[in-house]
Amino acid sequence: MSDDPHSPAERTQRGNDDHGSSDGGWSAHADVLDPDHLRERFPNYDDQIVHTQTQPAESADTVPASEVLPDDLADRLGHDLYTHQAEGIDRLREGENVAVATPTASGKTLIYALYVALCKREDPEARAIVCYPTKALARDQRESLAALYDRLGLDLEVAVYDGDTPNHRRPEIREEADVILTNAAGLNVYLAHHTQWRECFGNCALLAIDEAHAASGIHGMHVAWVLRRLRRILDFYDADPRIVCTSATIGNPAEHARRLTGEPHVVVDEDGSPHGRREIAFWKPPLEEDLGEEYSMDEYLGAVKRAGAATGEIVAHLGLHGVQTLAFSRSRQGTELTAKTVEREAGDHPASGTGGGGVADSAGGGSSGYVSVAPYHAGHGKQTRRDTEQRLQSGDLDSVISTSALELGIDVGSVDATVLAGYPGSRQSFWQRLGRSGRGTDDALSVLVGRADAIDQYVLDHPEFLFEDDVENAGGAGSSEPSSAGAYEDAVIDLGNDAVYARHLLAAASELPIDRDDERWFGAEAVPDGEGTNVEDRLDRGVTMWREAGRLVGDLDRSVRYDGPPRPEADVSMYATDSETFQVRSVDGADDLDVAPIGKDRAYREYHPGAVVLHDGTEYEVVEFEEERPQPWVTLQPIDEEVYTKTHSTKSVSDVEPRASRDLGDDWHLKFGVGTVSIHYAHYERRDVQTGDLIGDVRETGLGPIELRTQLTWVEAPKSLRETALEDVPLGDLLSEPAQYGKGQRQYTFLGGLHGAEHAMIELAPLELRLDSSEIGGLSIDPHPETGVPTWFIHDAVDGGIGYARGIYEHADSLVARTREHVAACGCDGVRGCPSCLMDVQCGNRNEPLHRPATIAILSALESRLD
Amino acid sequence: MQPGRLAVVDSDALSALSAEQLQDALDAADPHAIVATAPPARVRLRSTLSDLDRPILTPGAGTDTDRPQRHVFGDVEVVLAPSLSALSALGDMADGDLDPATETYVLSDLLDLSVRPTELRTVRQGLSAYRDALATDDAPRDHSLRGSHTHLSTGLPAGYHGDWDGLTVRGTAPGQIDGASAGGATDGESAVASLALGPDGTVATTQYRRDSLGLRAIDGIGEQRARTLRDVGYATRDDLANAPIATIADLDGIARSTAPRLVERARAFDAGTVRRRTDESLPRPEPIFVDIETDGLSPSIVWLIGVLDREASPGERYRSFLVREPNEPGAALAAFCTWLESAAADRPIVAYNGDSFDVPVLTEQIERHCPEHGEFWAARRTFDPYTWAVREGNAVLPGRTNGLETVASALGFTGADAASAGADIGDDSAASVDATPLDGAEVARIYREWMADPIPENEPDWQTLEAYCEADVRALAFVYDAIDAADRTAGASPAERAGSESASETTQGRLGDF
Repeated sequence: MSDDPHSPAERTQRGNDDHGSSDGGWSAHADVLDPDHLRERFPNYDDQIVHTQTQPAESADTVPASEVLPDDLADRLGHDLYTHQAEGIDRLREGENVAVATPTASGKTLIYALYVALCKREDPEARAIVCYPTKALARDQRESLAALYDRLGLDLEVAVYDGDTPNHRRPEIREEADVILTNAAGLNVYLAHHTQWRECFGNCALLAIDEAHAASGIHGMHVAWVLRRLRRILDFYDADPRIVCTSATIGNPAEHARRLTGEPHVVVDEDGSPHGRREIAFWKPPLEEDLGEEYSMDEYLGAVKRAGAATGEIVAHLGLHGVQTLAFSRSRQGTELTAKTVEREAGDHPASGTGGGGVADSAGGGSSGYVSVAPYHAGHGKQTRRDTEQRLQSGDLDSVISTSALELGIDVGSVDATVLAGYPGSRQSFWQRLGRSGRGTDDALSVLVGRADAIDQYVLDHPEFLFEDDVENAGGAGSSEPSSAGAYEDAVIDLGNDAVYARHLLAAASELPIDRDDERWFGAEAVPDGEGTNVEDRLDRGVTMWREAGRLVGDLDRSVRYDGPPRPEADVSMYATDSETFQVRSVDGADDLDVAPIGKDRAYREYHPGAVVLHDGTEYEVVEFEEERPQPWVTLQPIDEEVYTKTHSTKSVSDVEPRASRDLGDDWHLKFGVGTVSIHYAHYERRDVQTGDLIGDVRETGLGPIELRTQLTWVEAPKSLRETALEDVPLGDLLSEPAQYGKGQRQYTFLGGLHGAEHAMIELAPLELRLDSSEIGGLSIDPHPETGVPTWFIHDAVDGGIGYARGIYEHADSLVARTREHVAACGCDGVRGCPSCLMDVQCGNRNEPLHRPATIAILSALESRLD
Repeated sequence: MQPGRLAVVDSDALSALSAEQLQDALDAADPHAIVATAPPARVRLRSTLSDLDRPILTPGAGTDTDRPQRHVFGDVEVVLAPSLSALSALGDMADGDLDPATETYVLSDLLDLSVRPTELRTVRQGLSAYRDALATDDAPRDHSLRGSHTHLSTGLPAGYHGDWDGLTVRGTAPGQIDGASAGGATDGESAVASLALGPDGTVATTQYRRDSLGLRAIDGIGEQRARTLRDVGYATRDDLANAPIATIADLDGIARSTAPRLVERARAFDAGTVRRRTDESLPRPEPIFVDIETDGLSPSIVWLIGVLDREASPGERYRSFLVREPNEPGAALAAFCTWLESAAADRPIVAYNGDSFDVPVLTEQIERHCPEHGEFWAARRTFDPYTWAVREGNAVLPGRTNGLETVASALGFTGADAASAGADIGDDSAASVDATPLDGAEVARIYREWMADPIPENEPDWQTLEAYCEADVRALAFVYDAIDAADRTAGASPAERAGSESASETTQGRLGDF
């Protein structure tokens, strides 16, 4: 029996994978990133590598397939199963729901693929539904699953059912396909016609959520409710399928699966798949110019060599040494620019005479100053992307620079090295990207290039952050990555957002009448860990609200029916929290922009009149902002100048209602609750991209304030802190107050301390939670009119809340500790902090006031009381 | 007794409509009075239609705002209450001037709703002050009003009905509630609402959408083309009907082959004929015409099935299968199936929009309540003239929309046709068909109230409801006959006969049709 259990769904099958590069991966060029070698060979090498981590190879941990499968299937499968695959299947057969959280390319798909085969044995009518985050992934997996069933000699029809499925094929798929691959946005509209799905739903034996970690944030909320509506309908047809959630490694797989689906899961996270040796280098680009002691954010950004440029140089260097590389960039424009950099640098590189050994199949060899490279992102057409994927897989391309589009499982084979232009924001994402390099048991190389901001600098300074728990697992037959909870960010799904809940409740009512039994899906019991969320009598309140609005009729003790305009599910926008989304249009009326509609909060913040936005590599200016119509829109016009805009806002928080609180003693309080955040994006500036200089005067947006009723976490500090925070600050280090301030230097400096604490916690929150930093915001104020004391708030920036503020409340102890430590250890001079510790590019207040010593004092005081 | 008819316009809607569209809506609604929801709407109305000869009511504005103003429209009393003080004075009025025997409608802008999903509640705004204003010393909180009152508000959408702590509240404004869902597409949003107020408190509502008024009522003329035509002087359907085809064909955005079709449609519009586009025939033999009444769009019960059989002996026969007792939901279904089996087993069943509503609903209800008929029912042939004409493009139906009542009326179907045949039911029916304005939503609501609390006061007037259903069934038969009679070749224009129109030219079913 071969001991090479590659999951066909996640790796190119051995037979097709023969690049002919029997040079054992990159390690034949093991010295390519050795500092001595670099000093000789790499242009301007100046010790940018600040740390290297080596992870030893791991061999596979397997179980004979015959222990898990009937003999005939085991034989035809032709290889052993990894331990986690066997365990997953066993647990499913015991009647458990399973959350599989093992690293990328560990064969998770095989678990549910084989379970379906087993179900079919026992019940020929059994069906399975698999939900993917994207249509592309679903299509990709269809091929793999079909090939697997072929090999196993099973006549199972695997079909994709989504927006692109032709109408004439749909009835046949619904009625006859054994495995249906779809996505949550599709399910949202298909559920309304559930009678047409009766065959499939009534026989559903398995519901699988693939790449479940992608269901996070706003999108995650909607997926969670769509899945509840689906399960409710499955229950109506008397089906009770097992559930499998596969995800990359996250900090809370059991909790996440439970929140996503409503059911408890057992966790399978001991990885049995093998890995080659992995070298990870941490690269810190240098400052290009000398900055003075105090400098602004814009000056700093202009000075630091962009991570993208450094990435380009590294990829060129690797390519010339025959190392096939996949690089990840933050933006689409970044991929294009970096690709150009690669070509240019390869041409200028002093490397020569490294001999043959370029990637075997590329014509002309790779060592003569030429490196083939292609950018890749979702803005490219389907055909272009397919081409790039294939050329990468076949070895025809030396390198590809991609956005997160290639992070998910689309099969592109495996490269020798991955380079990350900037920390991707979560450890899960970090390991997922790294996992793209290293063929089977071949060795892999990765480089993390740090950007100028706080979180990247934190990671470069504390590489152990990425390897926590590695020591505990070192002896185990486990992964080369940390696998236990706590070592990864938690995926966040907030079931407490009432606006989102209300829309899904309405859609559910139109699918099937609602009664008391639906407390199971929509009542308080549907929200695990409901502390801090207002879920008391939620079903009653939701029904009453809609009934009084004329959309529902009846009462819960008998039945409640939908009575409104057709298709209420069309009001569910999977990426925004209210139905007031703005369309994004192009000025010449062409609909080629292909930008999904944006929520109102985002429209005000980033797409206000006059704002410059980047889309698909082009800069656009917002020339029209139409809100009064039933379908609001913004219109974009391409511009030729290299400018960007910065928006200033004023903010206030009112009608604060605490829902949970911790009394920390000495008049310190940490609280969580809801409040009204009013943000006025009133002014903006235009600045030159190259120099950061201001162009013209500050302009008005012409918009009024936007109000959000949302969730927030805040710290109430004692008034005495105004003095104690500045105890050790000499007079000369106080901030000078602006003309109209009027409360004195000390108070202004104290405010700088609060503001810094707020910023730093927001910037480092990604250490604890998977989040998108544009979806949280903060406010610091002394005193706040309602709390009466110095206060700083961190709030969710979407209407109804999204779970991030809640997550910060729950992780406050470790977040505050890490934040204080990072700010205290920052090597910047001056008292105003720097982008690596306190300055935040998203600050609506121009990063003023900020005072690092005061912030450290404040955070220390808080930290000592949190323990 | 005659209902009172009001047409309601608001500023947003007005700004989106051309003068011709507005006139078209008013012609269709034929109101006794027009309600402008705010002063700017009133101003715009007057300036757009300077020869308007109906009174315009504007709640919340005017010179003498402290006193209520009584109007009589049809046989119905409508009292305008421009302010809370006027409302207070209403209590005094009730003693002498108002007829307690008929429903009195109080019209104001003092009540509205705010739906707040982030707080999971709907706030009824203005209710407290309103009730306080209605109270008098002896009778706190609106008990001073004698007789039955319905409180109309321009702050609520037409079609809205609510019981606000004992006050019957209805909406009048075109469009939807702020903050609540609008459902699928929002194109062709409602521009003018029309209300028929019955003396017994029933109200029928029609919403006229932008894409069904003026030139836009013609298939193939969207906003762009309507503007183009208007710019060169063809602003109404009549203008277009009399226009030289060559001139139209020369315009931007109108292809040479399209122009004749548009002109023909304009000509056919008010001529009230069906235009066949294909040779597809209607099913044989003579069908059974059916319409059902339920308790809403997601029904839990089919309580009335109206059936017209024109081949009964000795002569055509209309039957009603009615469920008076809501706790026997399957009774009408079983009786219907039994009758069908014995009398008309081999004839197709025709229902308007039956494919989307009547047939699936009947199927589901039969399976649930009388499954013994399930197999028989599943084997029936059904035919839906709406699908056949509109979705499949076999014919163009006259009328502003493709809704049954609009099409039938454009073809010349009148209340008389409905009422005279209603002699089967009782001679009050002719009068009641006129006086009780009903629409599908109102009928469903009436039955729901009965179901929720089956006490004698809530018992519906079965004759009126049956007459309503019968009128629809007869309208259906009328439309069916008109389609059948439409001469396939002579009626079609040369432009239509030659070549097939592309799918985009086909009339697609519109949200506003139902």
